[in-house]
Amino acid sequence: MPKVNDVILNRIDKSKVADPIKYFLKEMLSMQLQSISEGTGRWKFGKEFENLLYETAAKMRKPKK
Amino acid sequence: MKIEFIKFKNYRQYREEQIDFTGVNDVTVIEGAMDSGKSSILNAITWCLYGEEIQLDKEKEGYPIINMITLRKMKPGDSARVEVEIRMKDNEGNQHIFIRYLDVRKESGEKGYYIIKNPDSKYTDGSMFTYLKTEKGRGEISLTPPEYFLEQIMPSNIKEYFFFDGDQLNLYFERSSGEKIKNAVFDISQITLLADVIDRLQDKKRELLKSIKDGGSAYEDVKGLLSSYEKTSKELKLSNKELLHKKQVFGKAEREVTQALLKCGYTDIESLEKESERLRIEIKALGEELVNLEKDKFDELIKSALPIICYDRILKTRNLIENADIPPPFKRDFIERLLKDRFCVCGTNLKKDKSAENELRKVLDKTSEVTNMQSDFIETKGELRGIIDELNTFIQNQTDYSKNIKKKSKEFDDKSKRVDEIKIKIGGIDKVKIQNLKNKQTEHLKEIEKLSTEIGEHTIKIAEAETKIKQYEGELEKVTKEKEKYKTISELVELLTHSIEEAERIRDGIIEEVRSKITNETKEQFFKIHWKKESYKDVNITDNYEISLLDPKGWETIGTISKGTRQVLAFSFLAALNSVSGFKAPIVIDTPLGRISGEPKLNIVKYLCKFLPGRQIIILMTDQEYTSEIRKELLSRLNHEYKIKIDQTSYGNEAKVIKYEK
Repeated sequence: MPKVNDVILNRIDKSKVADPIKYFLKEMLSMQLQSISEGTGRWKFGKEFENLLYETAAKMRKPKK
Repeated sequence: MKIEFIKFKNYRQYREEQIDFTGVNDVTVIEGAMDSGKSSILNAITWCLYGEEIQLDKEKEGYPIINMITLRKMKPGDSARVEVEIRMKDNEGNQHIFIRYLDVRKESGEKGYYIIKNPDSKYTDGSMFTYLKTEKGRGEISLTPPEYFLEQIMPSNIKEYFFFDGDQLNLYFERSSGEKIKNAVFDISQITLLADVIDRLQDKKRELLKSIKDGGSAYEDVKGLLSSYEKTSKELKLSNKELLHKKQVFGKAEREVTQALLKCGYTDIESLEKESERLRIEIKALGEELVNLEKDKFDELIKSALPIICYDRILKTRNLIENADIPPPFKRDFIERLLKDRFCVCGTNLKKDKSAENELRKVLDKTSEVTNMQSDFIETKGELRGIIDELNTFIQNQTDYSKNIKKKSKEFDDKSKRVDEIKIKIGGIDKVKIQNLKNKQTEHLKEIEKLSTEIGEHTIKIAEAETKIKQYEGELEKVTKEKEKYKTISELVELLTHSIEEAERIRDGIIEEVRSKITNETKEQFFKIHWKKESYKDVNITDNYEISLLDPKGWETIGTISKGTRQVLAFSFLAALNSVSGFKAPIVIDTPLGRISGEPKLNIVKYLCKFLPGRQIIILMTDQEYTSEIRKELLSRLNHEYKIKIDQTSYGNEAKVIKYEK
């Protein structure tokens, strides 16, 4: 599997945004990288992305413990 | 990751060949004369991996890829396979085998052959690419698509940093290369990936905002404005993309012209003409100096002509005076006066003493007239000494003049000879071709400049439109939030806004970090290796990845540095890029010393010995480059040494890679 650069991942981990956004960004990068590596170019919004977006929004909605 | 071997089958000069790279050390040298097949090894690697021969001369582009001996031996209708196989081993001991092949059929027409394009091929030349992986305990497995797996080992967009022609390394710092380097750096550090994600998120955010249909007049107004700016931005971006593409096309054409100029000996003609011009000025000055020296010499000769003619007499006179009894015991005048007065100084009356008178007369006879001129002699003696001294100075001056004239004449002759040599050399260079290429280069550069201006103007307009879009998006978000029915969309838009902002922050931080890391590593490498550290103060890489090298006074030197320094700077920069990329792919360098002469050559080799330790490096050198001195320097890191041997057959020449023997 293609791998997102550690430099980017570390910066996301250290950022001050909420954890669901961190997860969301990492997943987005993986999806984009995979589609580039497979030679399909820019990835199109599919079900996988829609699910990720709505799941993240739901996580953000939950009150923080 | 190391290449273990490369197998050739009917590929260009190599009919059936295999090069073994296995071993403990990491540097392999392959020596070969010009046009023996060195660059074909580099091309075979890039053709096998990327379907592209990156080092193909323009004039060789028309040559068939199939080996000429094989082609000549084939009968019309026969077909043969061209194949290159590269086997690599990773640090875990897994083997990766990449194979590319294409089939060629012999035909009886003018061209004589036909490439059978495989219908499944993704490549313009119709070749097929396969990848096999051998994992410990799992055996050999074929994995598809091979490009996907290759990208993880040696990404195609940064192949120029692993496989390169040392002779053209300096082109990395030529015009329009900054943008190319910047793109490559952004790719290798995945900044492009991050930028793509930001783009995608923005697209999604806009899509969501557009999905809101019912919103009241304020909402519709904002939405209308937003749409109009989005349209403008989209159009501008599209047009900018076209302009950038055009600029890339012109940039590529310009680089090709620059390379063609280099091959024609443009740099040589330029420096030779400069040298010739300088020599002509020096010769003119020397000519004038020689005329003046001859004139001065002659003037002095004329000035001293009389004493020179009389020199013998002067010497004789001086000797006479010096040998004469001066001052004499008495003058003749004095004796004559005593005889006339008839009284001697001793008081003797000569009238009475005849014998005394006779004695005095005898003395008179013995005393020369000359004794009367003693004071004149003393004065003349002084004058003669002055004349002789002057003549001695004259002789010394004439000797100095002669020596100087001889020296200057030699200088004059040497320089005139060099001007003649240059004239012959320049005469052998195709000036018309160079002028045409230069005109073409100027045209391309003008076009690039024009396009850059247009792109700049568009970029400003895009930024303005984007600011407006952001502003109206904010307003739209606000309006949307107020509507309960759009609550979910509003949440999603908010999530996307936060994600975009964070991704932009990370992207900007990495851009700066990567640039600064590359700058520092380039600087460190350069100053560690360069032999004249004191001549330079700093290495800088701008935001646009233009490299600059400053002298101790802070002046830019990049346009005037020697070929050797340029090469070291390029190697340092490549080492930094390789280090930042994190990919441990093997490095193949063709003719690393091509443009370097004299002492810096050895310095470059010393540098290559320390270049990227632990990394497999394959160096392709000409027989002139691989001298015993250079071999000695590389010995500690050498894994294999090979030599390309050309076998001449009645069907044509065939290249063989044999063990090196000095």
